Amino acid sequence: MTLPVLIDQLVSGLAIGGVYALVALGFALIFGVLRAAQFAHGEVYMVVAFLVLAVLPWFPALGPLQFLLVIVTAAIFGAIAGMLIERGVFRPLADAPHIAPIISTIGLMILLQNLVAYLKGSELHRFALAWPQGNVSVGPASVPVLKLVIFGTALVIPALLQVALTRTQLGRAIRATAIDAETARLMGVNTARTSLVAFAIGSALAGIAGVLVGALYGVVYSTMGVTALVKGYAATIIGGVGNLVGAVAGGLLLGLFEVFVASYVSPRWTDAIVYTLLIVLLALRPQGLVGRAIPEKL
Amino acid sequence: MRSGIFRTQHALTAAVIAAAVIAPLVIADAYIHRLMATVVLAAVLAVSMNLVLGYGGLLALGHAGFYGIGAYTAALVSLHLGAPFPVTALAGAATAALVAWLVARPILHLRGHYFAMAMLAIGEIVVQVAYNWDSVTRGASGLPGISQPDLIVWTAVTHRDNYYLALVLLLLAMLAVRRFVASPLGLGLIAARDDDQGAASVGIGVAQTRTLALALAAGIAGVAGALYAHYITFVSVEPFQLEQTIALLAMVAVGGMGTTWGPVVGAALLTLLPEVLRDFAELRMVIYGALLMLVVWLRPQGLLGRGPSRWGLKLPGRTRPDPSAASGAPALASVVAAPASGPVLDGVAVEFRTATGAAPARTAPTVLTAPEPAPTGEPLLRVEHLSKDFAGLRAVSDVSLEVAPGEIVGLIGPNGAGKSTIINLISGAHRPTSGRIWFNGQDITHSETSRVARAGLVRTFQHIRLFRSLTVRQNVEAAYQVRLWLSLLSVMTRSRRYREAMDEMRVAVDEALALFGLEGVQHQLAGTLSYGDQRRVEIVRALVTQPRLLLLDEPAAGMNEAESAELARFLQEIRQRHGLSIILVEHHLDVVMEVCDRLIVLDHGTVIASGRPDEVVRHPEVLRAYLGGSA
Amino acid sequence: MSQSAPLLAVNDLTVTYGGIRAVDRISFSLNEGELVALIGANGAGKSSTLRAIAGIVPIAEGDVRLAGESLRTVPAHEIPRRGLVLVPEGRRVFGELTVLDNLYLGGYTRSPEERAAGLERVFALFPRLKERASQAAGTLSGGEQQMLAIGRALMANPRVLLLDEPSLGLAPVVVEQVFDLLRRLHAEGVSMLLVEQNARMALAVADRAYVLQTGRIVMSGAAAELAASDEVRARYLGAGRLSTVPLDAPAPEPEEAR
Repeated sequence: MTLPVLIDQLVSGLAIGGVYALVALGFALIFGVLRAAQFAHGEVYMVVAFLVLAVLPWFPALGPLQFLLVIVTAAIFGAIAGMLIERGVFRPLADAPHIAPIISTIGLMILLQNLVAYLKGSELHRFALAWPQGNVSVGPASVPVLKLVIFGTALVIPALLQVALTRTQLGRAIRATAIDAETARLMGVNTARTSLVAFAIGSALAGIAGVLVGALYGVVYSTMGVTALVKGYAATIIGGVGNLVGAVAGGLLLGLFEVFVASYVSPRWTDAIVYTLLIVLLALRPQGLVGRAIPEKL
Repeated sequence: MRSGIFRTQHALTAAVIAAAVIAPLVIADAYIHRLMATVVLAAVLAVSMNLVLGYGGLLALGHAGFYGIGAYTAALVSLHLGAPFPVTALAGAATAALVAWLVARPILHLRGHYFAMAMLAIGEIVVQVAYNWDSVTRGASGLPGISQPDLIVWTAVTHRDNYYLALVLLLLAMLAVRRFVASPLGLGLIAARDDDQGAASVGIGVAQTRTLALALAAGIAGVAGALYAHYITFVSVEPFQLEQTIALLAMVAVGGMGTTWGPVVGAALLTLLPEVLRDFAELRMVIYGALLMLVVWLRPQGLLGRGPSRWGLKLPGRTRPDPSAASGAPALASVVAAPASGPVLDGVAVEFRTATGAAPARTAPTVLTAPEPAPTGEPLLRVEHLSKDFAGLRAVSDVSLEVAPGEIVGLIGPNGAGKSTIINLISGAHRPTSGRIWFNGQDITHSETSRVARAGLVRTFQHIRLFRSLTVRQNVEAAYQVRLWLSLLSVMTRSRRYREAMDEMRVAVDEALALFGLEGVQHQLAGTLSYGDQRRVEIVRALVTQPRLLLLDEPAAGMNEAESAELARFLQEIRQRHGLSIILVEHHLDVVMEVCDRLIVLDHGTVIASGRPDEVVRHPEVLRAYLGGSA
Repeated sequence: MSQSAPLLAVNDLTVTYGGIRAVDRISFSLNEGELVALIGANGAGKSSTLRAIAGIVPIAEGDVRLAGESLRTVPAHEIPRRGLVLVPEGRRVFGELTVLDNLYLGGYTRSPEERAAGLERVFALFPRLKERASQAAGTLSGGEQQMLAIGRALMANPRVLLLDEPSLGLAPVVVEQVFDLLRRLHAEGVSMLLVEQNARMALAVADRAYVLQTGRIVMSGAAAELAASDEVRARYLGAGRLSTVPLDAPAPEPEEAR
């Protein structure tokens, strides 16, 4: 193992880990506020990637500005999709058994996957951004700028979100809704609105992750959401359910793990090894890696 | 009337089975036969998943993996050993059940989505192993040339033959699940779904029960996998992937979780739907997804689940109802009926009376008496130098205490003094940082809650933790199971010993319910009772396990003075009758002063005073820290 | 508005859960500056009454008027803006948020300037909360959490404060502190509606009280009169069985206490 190779792998792991982190963060935010698993979260990621691909030709080639524009567009598409799903699927099932929104979003997952396959075909579609291109030297290694930018995006956005959640009244209201919605309403918080906002933000994160992964691999396809969901779900669990910082850490860790296991153990057995390690982790730390063992109130 | 409904149900079941047997004889179409076989095979899987998901409340996201293990095992045994179907099916079932049993150990203490993720990981590992272990599974190309189901005297050749084989399997699977769920083991499984802490507190081995259920479900899925392998005569990984698990999940939920026929209906519907939609070609699965959403929207609880549909469903208003206030009438009636100045022994009878039907207290029945008391002179409970840290904070610091047989000890102190922590440590809910706990001569320092309870040390909770989806009677029966040693085999075969044990249980539970005046509400769901009746059920549930020591955590919380006075009489009464020891954590001083032989006062995790109640309440430290300067 | 109109008027209020009438056509009122107590057994409908007034359970029949305006169709999150705040049973502080965040949420309906002023008032009232402002609320003791819950409600500067079982699960010394606080707020002129199991202490601080039984008001009057009534004493004060309790009959000061 040489240093340049190591650096290259590290950057690759952080880039894909950053994508997982964004998916996980969105999933965790939605789960925290609505107490329901959004199983079509991966399809938001996929649909937004396709929508951005469709409007990409109209984007001016403005270098970094174009990249920013792509991210903002993806966030907007994601937020709109999220709001539609919250209103259309989750709100009507608010008082239903826990399994109901899971099954309904599974239905939505099947619907969206097959709709996109029907409209655009189930093959791989090329997805390329004009910026960032090329490589940059990191110590002795030369790594793609794209991967660094993806990793950077996956750090900056959660940091901004963290500030918004802790420093603003709306952020406090969202966290209060997640902890105890009824009491939040007693304080004057319109929890229907905070749920909608949380869902929109969570889905915007999925949308951003969708275009980043499209840029990273250079392709998008109709079933890409399933992997995203499973990896995002795993990252959320690794970090500890309901822990937003943990979700980001879990995503990055999962990405690094995958890259290093594939390089140094076996590319073929990567998934089996990663899942085995996940089970071992859960057996040892049932509350996730970052989650604290809070004594349950009996 | 009840038996009438029963008979109608039996007749309906018989009619459905008859139709399932006759239909393929009438309709002689191989395509239809193939569809029917597919539906029934899916139904077997859905029925097995329902045991874990519906009754166990566990999001088993790896269920298709067990199906795969069964299929591959059967295929390999058949190909390499040439064994007939009964042998390969048994091998498939055993392997799947064994894997489930082995992996269940480390992950069954996980909750909710952590468990779901662990199961998803197991399913994925099965797929990855099958896909990559070329030398055994031949990877992506799969294993061809498996023999058709050979039952030695008869071989299933046509689609119809295989359909009949699958139908037999389905009926057996439904019977097995039915028997499991109707047994005390099944009640324990549902109890743990409703409230795992509450279940452990009365001695239900939550992990053990779930392991059994998971192994049984995996075994059924394994047989289904074996049948699939022989029926199709070929196996590869595709049918065992996450998508299959998700489809099963949808079948169970659409049909109705935790119902007998729901999974079958769900399996039929969701298997046939894509076939019906064939004409829509590529849009088929789009419509399928939309219909799935529509069904959930119309009937969130599943087609056969209990509750109203959205048609004519009046949506809840501004919030969900408050269960604690759901029915105020019965509790109040008992309070009003109780003259606060009544003689003590009379008061017990009043306490036990409910609004629905009066039952005078009987003489102590045999079922509730505790086992022989420990040798005299030995304390029943001995706690030595107990300490507990939470994230660097010392919640309990070097506490030692003893409880003698038949003694009632009060544990009082300001909020945050460590009272609840001590209860949690003694009952095994938390592990101490240091110190030892001895109960009845046994070291229980590191025992789990359910083991502690089985040893005779049972706790109640500050917030009532009943099994809300079980009836009052089932709540008590679920707790009674700690007195039984049931094997899965005896439950499945309904052996004579099992039936005798069930008869004994019925008598014992009848007596316990009658003693507490609860027989009138025994078939009501526990969650619908009034607060007072819920407290009563909680105590019957604890007493039916024959405890030696009860830990009561603020039983009088939310009671007014008249109600707590009744509680005090009641506690003295059960001590007299059952020779129980009690540790009572309580802020209602009137209760504490009246019933306790001895008080222990805690502050900041340490004992600041202990002794006779009248002495302790005059202790200056106690006045300062707890009672306030009114003296 | 006429001088004599009550600040809070409850008329024929009915609350139902799945067909059961938890609260059955009750009427009562609270005047400006008054402290009124609702007492009664478990399940009598006291909490349901407060929750219906605060809008978190629906009003089946009847009406609630705050300063003459109906709250019947006002959604729960609008009610604090109208000047009515409920301190819920069991304190319900946001345990993972800091004390300061909890207080800011209490002032959610107000402008930043009003929030700052409210914070000053609450910190003056509870210096302990100021010391612990950046601590997670879940790490506070039960008594401190109750103070936080009340302080959080005061952040909205309500015209009417509803309190649901503020003494529940608290040590006697803390219960006294809570009731001292209620006396102090009462002296400051805060209008309060108090629900309590601890009828003795509730009747000691209240001006007037109503006794609820199976969802109906069976008695009402001046708190002192009710406390002296035989029926109330027998049913809710457990008369005659408390002779050993220091709160009831203070023990003589022991020697070693000084």
